[in-house]
Amino acid sequence: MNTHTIVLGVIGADCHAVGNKILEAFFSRAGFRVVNLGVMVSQDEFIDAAIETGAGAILVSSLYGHGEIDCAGLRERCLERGLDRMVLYVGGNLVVGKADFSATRDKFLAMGYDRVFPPSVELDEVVRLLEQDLALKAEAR
Amino acid sequence: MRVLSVDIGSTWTKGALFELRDGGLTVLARAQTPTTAHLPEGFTRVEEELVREAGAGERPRVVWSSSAHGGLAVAALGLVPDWTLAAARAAALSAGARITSVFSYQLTPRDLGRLNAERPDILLFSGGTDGGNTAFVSHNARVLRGLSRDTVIVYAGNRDAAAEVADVLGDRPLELADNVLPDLREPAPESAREAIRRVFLERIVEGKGLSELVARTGSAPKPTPLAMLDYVRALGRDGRLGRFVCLDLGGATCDVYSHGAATPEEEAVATAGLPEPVTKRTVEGDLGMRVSARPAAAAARPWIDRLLAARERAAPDFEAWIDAIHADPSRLPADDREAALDAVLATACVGAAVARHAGRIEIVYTAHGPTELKRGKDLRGFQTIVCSGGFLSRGAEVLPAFSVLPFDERGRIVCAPAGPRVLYDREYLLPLLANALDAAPEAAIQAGIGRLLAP
Ligand code: B12
Repeated sequence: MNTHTIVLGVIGADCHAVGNKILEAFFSRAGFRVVNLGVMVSQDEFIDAAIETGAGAILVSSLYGHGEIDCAGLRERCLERGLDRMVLYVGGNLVVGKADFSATRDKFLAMGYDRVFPPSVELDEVVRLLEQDLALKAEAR
Repeated sequence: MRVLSVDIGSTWTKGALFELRDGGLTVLARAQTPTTAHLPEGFTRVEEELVREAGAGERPRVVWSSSAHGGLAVAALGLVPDWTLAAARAAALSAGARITSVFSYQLTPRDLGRLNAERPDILLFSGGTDGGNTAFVSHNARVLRGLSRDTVIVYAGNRDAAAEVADVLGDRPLELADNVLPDLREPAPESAREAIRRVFLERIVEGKGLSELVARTGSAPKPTPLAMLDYVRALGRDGRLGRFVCLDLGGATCDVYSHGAATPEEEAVATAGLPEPVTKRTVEGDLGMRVSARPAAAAARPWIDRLLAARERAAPDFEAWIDAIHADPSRLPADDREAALDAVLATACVGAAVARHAGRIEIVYTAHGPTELKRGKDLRGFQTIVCSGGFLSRGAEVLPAFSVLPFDERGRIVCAPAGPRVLYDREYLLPLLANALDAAPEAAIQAGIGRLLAP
């Protein structure tokens, strides 16, 4: 596993491309090797890319309101395909409308994501958490 | 200058003697003879016949290719099927190989058993992007210590694991090349292709009894499909064919070549998977007109059913015809009825082979409405089909192959050419002109295009 390689993409049939580009630029500048799969990425594509590149984390975006359906089962699929220590983050407009974020967070944590972020998140903070989480997973090896 | 071009195929050794004069290539003589067990024999026979027919002249420059004795047999090993395995497969095909089998993830003892039973000439070993996964490569390298020494390993995987691979496998035939997929969005087949070419020249030519010819002719052969692929690329650069597909349907296989890049409009559609090469080759070992007639009748069944649907009593007749050519692969149609049945098989083979070469468009229903998601090469806008090979070059009707089945078994749109013109290699000269490409590039291109466009 490569603690500095991360896979990025917008899941499902979601074509919101702008935030994805910002994330790519931001994490690259923060020193990560970013494998950006762009928009409309399936769960298997995320996993294939993570296996092939030896990535330590997958950062999933969902903007169009179908996050709950698209994101469910990714953790299980990772386990099934041999990625037993993958760091999984998810962020964006995860559910339709303006639901209470803490309820949304709980829902996605229960799906097996390590961290869940609203659109308003400070990306510096995400970088700090990611470095910490990757170090922990690497240690656990 | 005279150019003597010979192609040693699995059944026929064919040749032509060209004269290069005033920048043009003319055919002085043609000859063919059944391929002989000892390959140089048939070659010499063709050579002598050509010189006899053309009359004495200056000593010709000899250019030649071979696909005899199973061609260049390559097995491909990658990590994830859609990424490094797909990249390794594409690299091997672009080197003119016949793919014997493919493997992904961890090699099992059973996989190794299969490799040792098949004994391909080369195993193209990839896995991991540069800086990516090394664990699978490391495991697979250890398993491959049990690989037969008849198979040369070409390692073209994660650069970080190359030293370890050299360590573990260095005491057996091994070539190191650059990664076929250094980065997920950028396949890089060139170095692996070059390594395969080296292995072909250094070891395989020797093993197939061809080194004698190298010594005598003073020139090295190309694998036949590589010569064709290079020629297709050169024809494409000329521009007069537009973006095009070249079909070579034989008794055992169907080779499909395509040349053309995506337009900006085509690129605007959301795509998934590996980027497609501008010049691409695929080959189908189960789609052929004689040796492979049985498997073709099964694999191309959906096309056959559609093509026969309009005819009365056609299905039993068709099955009888397949039985007949299966029993006697040298059988040719004796009358119009048999010719029509053979034509159905040819059209179906083309349909299935092009469908495998072409990409797919899936309609994904989004909150935004239906959206297209594309995978693979989009041939819909390709303007020209070039038909070569004994079964197509005489004027086979191939257009129905692209229209009878617009969707695949999963309901996706097959990106086959939508309304192309069809050109025929009526003298079946393209493979021999392909060999002449390195000797007389401009003349070989002009001769090929001139013949295709001749009314
Ligand atoms: C531009 C836009 C579009 C464009 C997109 C063009 C393109 N190809 O990019 C078009 C017109 C195509 C479009 C279509 C649709 N859109 Co729209 N769109 C927007 C809009 C106005 C801006 C999006 C944007 O670019 N934002 C700027 C970027 C920088 O921000 P961002 O995408 O949120 O990303 C940041 C953060 O979210 C965060 N982040 C994102 N992912 C992750 C992941 C992790 C791990 C972390 C840490 C952080 C993180 O970091 C990013 C960078 O700062 C938003 C409204 C809005 N103001 O956000 C609606 C919006 C996203 N769209 C919406 C909708 C509903 C749609 C449609 C379904 C509309 C329809 N019925 O047709 C379709 C869906 C199409 C599809 N299949 O995806 C809704 C989503 C509602 C919801 N989730 O509840 C929004 C919120 C508008 C609204 N308020 O209703 N849209």
